[in-house]
Amino acid sequence: MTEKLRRYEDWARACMHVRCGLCRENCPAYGQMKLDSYSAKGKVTMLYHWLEGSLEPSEKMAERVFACTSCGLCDIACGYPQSEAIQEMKIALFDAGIFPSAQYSRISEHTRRAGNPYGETPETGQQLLKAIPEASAENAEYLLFFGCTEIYRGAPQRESVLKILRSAGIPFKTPSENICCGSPVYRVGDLEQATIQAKSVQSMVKNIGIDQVIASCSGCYRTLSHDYSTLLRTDPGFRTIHTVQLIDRLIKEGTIRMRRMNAKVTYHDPCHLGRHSGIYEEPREILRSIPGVSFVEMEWNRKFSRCCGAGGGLRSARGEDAIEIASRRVKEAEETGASLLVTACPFCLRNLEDGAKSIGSSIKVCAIESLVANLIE
Amino acid sequence: MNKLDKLHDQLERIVGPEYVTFELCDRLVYSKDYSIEGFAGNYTPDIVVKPGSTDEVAAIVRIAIELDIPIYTWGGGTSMSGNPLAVQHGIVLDMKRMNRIIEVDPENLTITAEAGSTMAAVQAAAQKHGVFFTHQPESCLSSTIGGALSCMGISIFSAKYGYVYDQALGIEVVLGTGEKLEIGGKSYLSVPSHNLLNLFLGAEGTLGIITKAILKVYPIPQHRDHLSFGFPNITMAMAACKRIHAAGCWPETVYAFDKRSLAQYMERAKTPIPEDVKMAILFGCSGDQDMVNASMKSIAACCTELHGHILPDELTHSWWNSVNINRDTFDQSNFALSHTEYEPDLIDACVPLSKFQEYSDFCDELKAEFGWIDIDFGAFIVASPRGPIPFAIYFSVPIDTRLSAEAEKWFAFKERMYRKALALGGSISDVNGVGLRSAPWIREQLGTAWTFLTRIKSLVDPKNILNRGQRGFDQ
Repeated sequence: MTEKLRRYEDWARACMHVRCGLCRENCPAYGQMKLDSYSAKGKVTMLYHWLEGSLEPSEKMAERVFACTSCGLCDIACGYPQSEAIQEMKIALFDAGIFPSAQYSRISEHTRRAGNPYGETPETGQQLLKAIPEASAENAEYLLFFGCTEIYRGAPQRESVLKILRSAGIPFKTPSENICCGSPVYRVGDLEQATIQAKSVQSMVKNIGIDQVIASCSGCYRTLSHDYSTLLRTDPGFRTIHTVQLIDRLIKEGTIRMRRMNAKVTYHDPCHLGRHSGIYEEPREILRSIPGVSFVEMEWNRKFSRCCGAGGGLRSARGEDAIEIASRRVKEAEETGASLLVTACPFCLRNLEDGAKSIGSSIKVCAIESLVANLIE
Repeated sequence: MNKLDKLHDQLERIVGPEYVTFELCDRLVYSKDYSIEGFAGNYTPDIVVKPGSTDEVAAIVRIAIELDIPIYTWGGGTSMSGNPLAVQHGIVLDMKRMNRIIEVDPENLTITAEAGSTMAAVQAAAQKHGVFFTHQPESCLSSTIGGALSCMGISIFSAKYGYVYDQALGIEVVLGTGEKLEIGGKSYLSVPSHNLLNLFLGAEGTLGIITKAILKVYPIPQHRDHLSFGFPNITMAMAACKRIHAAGCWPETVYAFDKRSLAQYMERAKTPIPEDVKMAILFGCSGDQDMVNASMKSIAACCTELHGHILPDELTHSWWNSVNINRDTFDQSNFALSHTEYEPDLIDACVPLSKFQEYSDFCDELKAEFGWIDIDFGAFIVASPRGPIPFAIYFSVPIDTRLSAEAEKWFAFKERMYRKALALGGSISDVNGVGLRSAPWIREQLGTAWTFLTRIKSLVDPKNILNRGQRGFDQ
């Protein structure tokens, strides 16, 4: 059970010795649940004792481990990939059948049964995708990969992405079936199903015959571009770009021009896009290029950006906690004086919207694709 | 109902069920601080509680007295001396929930904060109001005001502004009787009689639990610059520091590292260190640009006069970045790196300035005697609070605790080093706490003053509830 965790033994010892706790104060799970055991330091303590044999894994322990949103801010503080070790703890606990609650295992069950983490009837997604005209496009250069959240929960963002690509004359195609990228199951430790999803997506892309994929969900983007090589143990055979990279390029080329919008705007870096993938500047460039926009940064930005709280299955399993974490991020956005909080991930978008609503914030939360689509001349 | 169940029930009533835990996975996180001592025993508490107010702290103390269960107060848990460890298990009182910044008063240059506030949070709150809270250890993102005031510790700015106890104007403290005391206030002369503040500052929670502090803040200097110099030995480096003082410079940062320490701090940035560096000093000055420029020029002249040579800018910047760990720089921290192979611990003794070189040479000889031939120890020297003139030299000793004999060897080595420090006219230092690491030598050094201290302890903590078994009080 602990075989794969042994590689982190020395790091866990180092953490047990140093106890610097720099990972703690910015940890979304610790900030919400208040006990040190929820922080990365706490989880690595459990890992150390687990490996030493002085702590038996339990539901209580799993409750702490699974509360990790996979945001990776602890890695920035530590220098060791703590979030990777925590991810492996989730996998080991999952394999041992130790879950904190059915809410986490549901993500896996849904994906195994229905092919998406929401448990939606797959036919719904299929119908929706088939209705997109570009599903039957030929000679396309790009494959636009919609994630499950965009398909089942995010119609406005989906439409915005389509509008932008069509306006810019991008030759793209959409798949006619919804195959989850595997990110949600992977983040709750279901390595087996994540690998199955990765193989299915790889096979679908290969059959379509396009090797450039566009993703507008940051979770999908990170999984396709970074995790697939691990899950598949080989290069997936295609390259993935995020919509913000494409839009930034289109603006710089002059293909997209936007109307004036007089507003103070701030940006929330999705963890999967920013910290995990290093894409910080493109969304900022897009926002700065909008005539009339005054762009302001939140104190915690780029690699130091705080998590919105939606990741790692937390929103599905502990929705109230996830939304409360988001509300704190919204307050940070409010402190900038911005009237618009923009992000580039459907998970972050929904959670921040709910966070803003929960505290009665007047700030408007918006997907960067929707903002651009509304302003295209 | 057994005693612990009764305790659990009562604590839940005081703070609410979400702030009390019996779970082993929660308690283990409090079983170890940043000390080798922490690996040498089982210090897992029986229960962890997070109070939200001073009244709750007082109520917890009263329950602990009633049930005769010791309390170990925790802040960030970053202590290097084992002082928060629950030697006799019992209650860990985690103060981090008490993290409110109560008031920033820029006009009167004070900030008032609850003890569980991290120093980074206090700094950020001060900065928002246009003032500067100067106590910034490398752990400031996680270590707390209460922990710092209780355990001392240095700051990267302490050459100019002093220790953390130099920052305290007033404190609120809960005694081991459950009584609440307030000492000092916002005025700079708020302790008109005996300075009772000093009874609790640096006492590691053995005499009372600090719950709130009124602290000094300063106007924010507009510019900051750094230079670093290499020296052939410690003696020359210290002479340069004295020369800088005579020249009238008052830098805010004076850190002296030997090559080993420097290498450790360059690990994340991977900045090369020139071959010939034996002892190096980082100087930092702040203020208006012309003042900073003049100070830097003077420091450079003084160092050159004493055979120092300027180090590359890249090294200076890396060095500063590696110690200046805060909300926007914590990606530079070297805390955890390297420690997969060994755990560093400290010889925390203070010898007279003139004996730094002799003490360092003794350390080298003793290291050879103990058979640590291939392991480099790190020496580092810090200045505070008398401007550029350093006050203490430390040795960082890398111990491979996976080898059981190594920890025992370390304890024997430490004893020899402490005895040598006392023989040189020095002292056990509390700059990095006393706790379990240095307690055995404290009684010996204090002599009859130790008896007096135990009388004070029995007055303010008659049931020996606070940090029982710590700091030598019940040996």
